[in-house]
Amino acid sequence: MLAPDAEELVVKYLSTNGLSNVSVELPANPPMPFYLINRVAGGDDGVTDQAIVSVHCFNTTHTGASDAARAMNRLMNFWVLTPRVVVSVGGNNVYIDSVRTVESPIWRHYSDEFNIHRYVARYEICLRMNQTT
Amino acid sequence: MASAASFISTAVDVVSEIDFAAMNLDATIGENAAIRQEVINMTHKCQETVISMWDEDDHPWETGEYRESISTEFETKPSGFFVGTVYTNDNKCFWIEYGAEHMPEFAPFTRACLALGGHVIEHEEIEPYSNQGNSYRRTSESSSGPGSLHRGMSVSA
Repeated sequence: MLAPDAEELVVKYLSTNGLSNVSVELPANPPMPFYLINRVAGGDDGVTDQAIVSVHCFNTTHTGASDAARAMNRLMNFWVLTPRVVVSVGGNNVYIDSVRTVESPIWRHYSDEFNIHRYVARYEICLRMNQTT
Repeated sequence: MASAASFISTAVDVVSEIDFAAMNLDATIGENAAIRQEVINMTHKCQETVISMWDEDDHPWETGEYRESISTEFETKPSGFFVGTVYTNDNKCFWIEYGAEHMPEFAPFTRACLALGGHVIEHEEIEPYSNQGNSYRRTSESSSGPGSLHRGMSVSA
């Protein structure tokens, strides 16, 4: 059995709940605000996949990035409180056991460009390993 | 039911009579030589794991400065709690942990923590470590093996 794609799941969750410009890849000139999803760590025990996923929130100003991060964190907090939902990703059902905030959004320097600011948050998402492809 | 209630009542009485505050559990545990040695061993294991994460993967910085900066320190807290910390004071630490425009999100401390069965802790105490820009040491306490962190990973009794 395989674990569902945690990055794709987060992209779908945030996109379907009102955020635009959510992706696993940062384009050269991203529309702002932009949300970059990246799995940074985690393993599995054969039953549950424990994924640590970063959500990078970009905007052209520091306060804009903060606002984008707060909007994202608000959605993630809903998910933390009610994680046990079934979501269809790529035609397969994904069963979520738990969602936990590992790090709340915090400003981290990203670029020397004066108009690119980034807040980053991390979440732990535990998923049932039920995929075959 | 009566005997169960009696047992619970007795247990409550016994526990109530123990003066946990007077025992100073932190100091009692922290002064235990075997436990201190275990904290030291685990801290060094955490350090080795962070370094091995750096060595084994395609790390983003080749000069060796970051690798050399991964250090340990030990501290007995005022309460008696004994804490070992793995940390870096390299001024690229945030970029290496979270990524930046020209650096991938490598996250060596987070990955090492999870590899050792640690728990990533959200609420840490953040202390300025040096005068070097964005260089910080983080400390936290955990009661079960490696606590987590990005610029620092803490092991405590």
